[in-house]
This record gives sequence, C-alpha cells and structure tokens, in this order.
Amino acid sequence: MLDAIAVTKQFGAKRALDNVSLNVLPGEIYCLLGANGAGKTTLVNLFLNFLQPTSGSLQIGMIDVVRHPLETKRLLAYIPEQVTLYGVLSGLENLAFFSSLAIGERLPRPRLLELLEAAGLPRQAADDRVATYSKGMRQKVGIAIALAKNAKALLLDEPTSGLDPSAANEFSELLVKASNDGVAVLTTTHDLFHAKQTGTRLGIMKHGRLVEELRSEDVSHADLEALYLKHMKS
Amino acid sequence: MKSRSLSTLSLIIRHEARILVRDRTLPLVCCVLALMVGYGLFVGLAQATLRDRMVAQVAKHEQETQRANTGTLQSVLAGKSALVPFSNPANPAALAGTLAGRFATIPNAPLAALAIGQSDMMPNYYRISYLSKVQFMYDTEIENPWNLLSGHFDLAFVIVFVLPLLVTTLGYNLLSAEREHGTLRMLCSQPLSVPTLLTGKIVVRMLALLAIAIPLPLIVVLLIRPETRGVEQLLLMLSWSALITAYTLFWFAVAALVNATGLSSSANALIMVALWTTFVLILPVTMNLVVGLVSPAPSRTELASRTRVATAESLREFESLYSADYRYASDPEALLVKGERIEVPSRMRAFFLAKQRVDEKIEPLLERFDRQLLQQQRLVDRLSLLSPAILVNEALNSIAGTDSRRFVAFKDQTEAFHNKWRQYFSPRILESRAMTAQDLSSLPQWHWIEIPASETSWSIWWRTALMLALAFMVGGAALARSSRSNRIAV
Repeated sequence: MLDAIAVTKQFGAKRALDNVSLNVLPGEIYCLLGANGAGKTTLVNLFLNFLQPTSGSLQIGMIDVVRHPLETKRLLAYIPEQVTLYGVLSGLENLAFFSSLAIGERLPRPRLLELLEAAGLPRQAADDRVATYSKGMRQKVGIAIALAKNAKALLLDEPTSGLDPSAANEFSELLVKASNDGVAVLTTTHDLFHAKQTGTRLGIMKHGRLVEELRSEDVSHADLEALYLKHMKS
Repeated sequence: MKSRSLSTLSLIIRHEARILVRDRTLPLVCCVLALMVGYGLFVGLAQATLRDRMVAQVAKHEQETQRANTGTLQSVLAGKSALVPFSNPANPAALAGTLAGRFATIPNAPLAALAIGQSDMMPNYYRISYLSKVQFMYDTEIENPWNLLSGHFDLAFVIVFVLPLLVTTLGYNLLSAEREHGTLRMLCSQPLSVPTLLTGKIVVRMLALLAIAIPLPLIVVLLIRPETRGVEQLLLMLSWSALITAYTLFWFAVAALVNATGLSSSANALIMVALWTTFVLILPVTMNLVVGLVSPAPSRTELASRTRVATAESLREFESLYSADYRYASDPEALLVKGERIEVPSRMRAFFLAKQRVDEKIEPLLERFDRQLLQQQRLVDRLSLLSPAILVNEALNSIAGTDSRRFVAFKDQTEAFHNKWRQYFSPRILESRAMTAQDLSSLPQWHWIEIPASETSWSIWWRTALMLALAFMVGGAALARSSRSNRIAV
C-alpha cells in the first residue's frame, strides 16, 4: 500500500534520505525508529508530497505520489506529532470541516459525535473550542479525522510524543484496530516500547539510510533496544 | 472531478468566512472600510452639492441681471433714465462687458459624488465678457494633471489608497498564518490543492470588502441624486463596480503571490507594505517628476509677462481712442439712444478693441500652453500603465466626470462662447448700434455640451480591462507558483 522505491532526498549538500526503499502492506503497522535527523519525518513528508524526491519514487496504492498528489491523499490519513486545529472552532466543527474536505461530503452531527467518541474524546468536550483542548484531546480529534476519512493508509509522525501513558496506550489500541481493518500504517517514533508492542514491522534509520528492518515478533524488547543502541553508536 | 473541486472551493469559502467572523478580523476590517466609504462619500456629496449650488446661484444671478437690464433698457428707450455709459444696457460695449452678467457653467456629472478629482481645483463657471480670456480663464494655477489629483479624502481616495491597505491587512498571511499555526500541514494532507485553498481564501475576503465598497455608495447616490438613475449612468456604475473589483482582485493577487513565496507572515507584511508604497506613493510621485521633466508645465511667469507686453502694445495701438473725451459727464444727452444708434464712448470702444487684440497676440502662447497640457495628459495616460493606483484613479475620475478631459472640454467650449460673444457685439460697438429689447432677449446663450459617452466609456473600459488583465496575470503567477511549490506546507 505504501511504497518507497530507492528514494533519495537531497537538501543542497545534505543528503536527508539515501536510497531508501520500504513497503507497508495493508494490515501492517510499520514503525520507523531513529534519532532526530535520521530522515524519518522527511520520508513522511515525501509520502505527503510536501517534499519531492531527488530520485526514486513513492506510491500509495500503486499511485505515484508526485504525479497524482490529490488521488494519493484521498487514500491517506495523516496525524502529525502536534495535531494543529482551528482554535476558534470546536472539536466537532474542526472534525466536520476536515472530514468534509477529506471525503467530499458533510457528515451528520450524530456521526461526527460517534467518531469523536471512537477516538476517545469525551462527548461533553465536542462543542468546546479547540483552543481550550489539551494536546491529547487535539490528538484525538486528529484521530477522529483519520477515522472519518476511512483511509487505506495511515501516516503518523511521532503521534504519541507528549501524550500521557494512558493516552498513548489508547492510541496504540486504535492503531491496532485500524491495522486489523486492513489499513497500512507507517509511524515514526522514538518509543521503542510502543513500537515493539504495536508494530508488525520495525525499521531503523540512521543518517538517511534504512539500516535495519525486522519483524516485531522476531525480537524481544531487550534485543530491540540493544540493536537500536548498536546502530546509534556505530 | 470538476464538481468535487467546486464543492471543495465552496467548503473552503464557508470555512474561511466562519474563521474570520469568529476571530473578529473580518467584522473589524469591514467596519473600518464602511466608515471610510461613508465618510469619503459624504465628502464627495458635500462637494457635489456645493458645486450644484454655485451653478444654481450663477444661473439665478444671470436671470436677475437679465430682468434688471430689460427693465432699465425699457426705461432708457422711453427716455426716463440718464445713466453713466457703463450701466446703460442700450450701450453694446457696456452690455458686452460685465453688465449682461453672462456665465459659462459646467454642471456636475451625475456621478460626481464618487470622486472629487479635479473638480475642486478647476472652476465650474466663468464670467463671460469682452475681457481678454487670459484675465478670466488663465488666472488659476496651471499645473500638471497628476498634481491636481491629490489631497482629498473622498471615495476615490478610499478606493485607491485605503482599500489596498485593507487587502494587505486581510491577505498578508493567507498561507503563512496557516503554516505558522500548523494547520497548513493538516490542510495539505487532505485532497486539497494549495491553489484551491488560496482561491477560497481570497474569494471570501474579496466578497466581504466588495460587499461594502460597491453597493453602499451606489445605493446612496441612487437615493440622493435622482439624475443617476438613467441607463447611461447605470452603465457607468457597472464599469465603476468592475473597476473596483479588478483593482481589489489585483491587490489580492499580489498578496497571493507574496504568500506563495513561502516566507513568514512578518516578511509578507513588509513586502506588501513596500509594494503598496511603491505602487501607490512612489510611482505616482516619480511619474510626477518624469512628467514635469519630459513635458514641463507652462510657465505662469511667461504668460503674465507676455500678457503685460501685449496689453501695453494694445494700449499704444488704441492710444488715440483711450485719450478721447468724457463728454457725457457734462452732456448726458450724448448717451441717449437716437433712432437705432447710441454714442459708444471711445474709451469703451478702445477697451473692447484692445482686449481683442491682446487675445489675438497671446493666442499662439495659449495654444502652446494647451498643447503642453495635452502632452502632459498623454504622458500621464501612458505612464499610468506603470501604477495600478494611477490607472484606477484616472478611471474613477472619468466615471465621476471630474477628470481633466471634461474640464479641458469646458475650457474649449468657454473659449468658443467667448469668441461668439465678442463677434455678436463687435459690429454693434464699432457701428454704435444701440441695443434693443429684442437684442437683449437674443443674446448668445451658453450651452454646455457633454463629452460623448463613447469617449468616456472607452477611457474607462480600457483601464478596467488592463486592470483585470494585470490582476489575472499576477493571480495566475501566484496560483502557478503555489501549485508548484510543495514545500509551502513544510
């Protein structure tokens, strides 16, 4: 579903991605690990067509991201580290707007409330202005937007960063549920524990290169940590 | 696919309207604009009313003078009054001078309230007499046309100067604010193109500004000034609306282009203010200098000196007539009408002839002056292509009938009427023919002939078309740039 084929991204003299190839299948949760500046977010930005590759290609559902950006975005939902919404609108209004934008039709209020509830937002907060929301609550509206879109692929850029353990856990459960529904999930994270717990496949990036790829079930928490540290130190 | 794009655009428009209303930006800007439009219109209406009153008073004065002259003439012809020659309506020289009280007037164009233009700098009436036209038509400052355009807080000022600032207020951060708040990433991760987003944002802001700038003044002038309700005036109102739409669109297109560069909001604001200063202030001032250098304004000093020389020469030429007697002082009978004749004092005849001669001598200089003014106007027309502000100001004045062309036409028609006036009296003065009651009622009448509508329409529509072309060009560049630049969201 999500394919990066020999992708290189150069920013002037700096090579942010170096010949990266990866593939995320429907129902898979692919966790990209790596230090800051390893190229994880660059890869996400390339899938979103916020950046264009210097060489190589990216596809979502076999559709080229650069040539058909709008078509690929219809298949994709994105939750950034900081879900930024319109502070002067309520959570429900934000969801109504973004979901209309995503699916091309306005969902009825009961359905919107249902989506917010499914994402874990308390019903009584739905009509409050987002400016009063905590980070976790905004993240939940972001999840509701992704749920409304019924996307085939989910891109997440350090989604649990800054969330309390309970919220992070709820989030992981939602990811698993989405993958069980056949959604291909690509997530970047620094959280080895959650990556091992929720991911089906793990990739470690360093200096723009994908240096390790392994199945989650093949490693223990301790092995993953050791492997990660080995790559970071080498 | 097209209907999907349209529904996305409509969604963006509704969303933007809601955001702008919620954060109170739009209501605030609209209030400011409404106040300024209201005040500008009030100033324009006050000025137009003042000029209407002036013309009405002049017409009333002319009628009263005519009635008084008719009464006096009847009395003189009946031998009841013995008057000094200067106030005797039977004396053609007296009547040709100031006694007839004839005026050339230019009425307000129906839409005069929309732009004061040059109307407060140029006279709207001339008192016609046999005096040299230099004395009554060239006694105001001769100035290049653009200089005459500045200095009013009228509706045209609000549109040309203030409206772009309000567009800047609403448009400097069209995309940059979304990027800085982080919402642009959320938006761009949806099936939404940046050009559609930009278009939607511009449409809602533009509609809000135009909803105040266009209907408010038109409704007010339609209600207050009934002469604006004709088909021709409605067409002019249509072109006025099209012009303002094109000008607003141009400034939003500039804002879109600046936003498409991907700079920060503060950088965008600085660039927009710099562009406003360049287009609205610096370019007109530079153009003023260029016009002054390339086609200098005619010299007032030269005109005054030449007039003095011509007057002195004419005085010498008719010296013998000037030095003639004051016989009527001791012999009032000399002023009575005898048959169809009256003795026109030689001094008055000399005065008439001398003024005619001054005009003949000064005519080549005045023609040169007119040519220079025309050259300046042409240069202004050409250079106005460099600044949308000048382009629009000129067109707004044309629509309101307060542009230089209408006043030049008034001057030309006044000159023609002045000549006609002299030609009417010349044989009567030279042949000492007394004025009769019939003569008095058939004195040359002033009629203002309006500039052909086709000429005005052309000058307005080509400017509107050019403004629209400019707006689409800049807007097209902005959309193309924003669609190419994917990094805009990062």
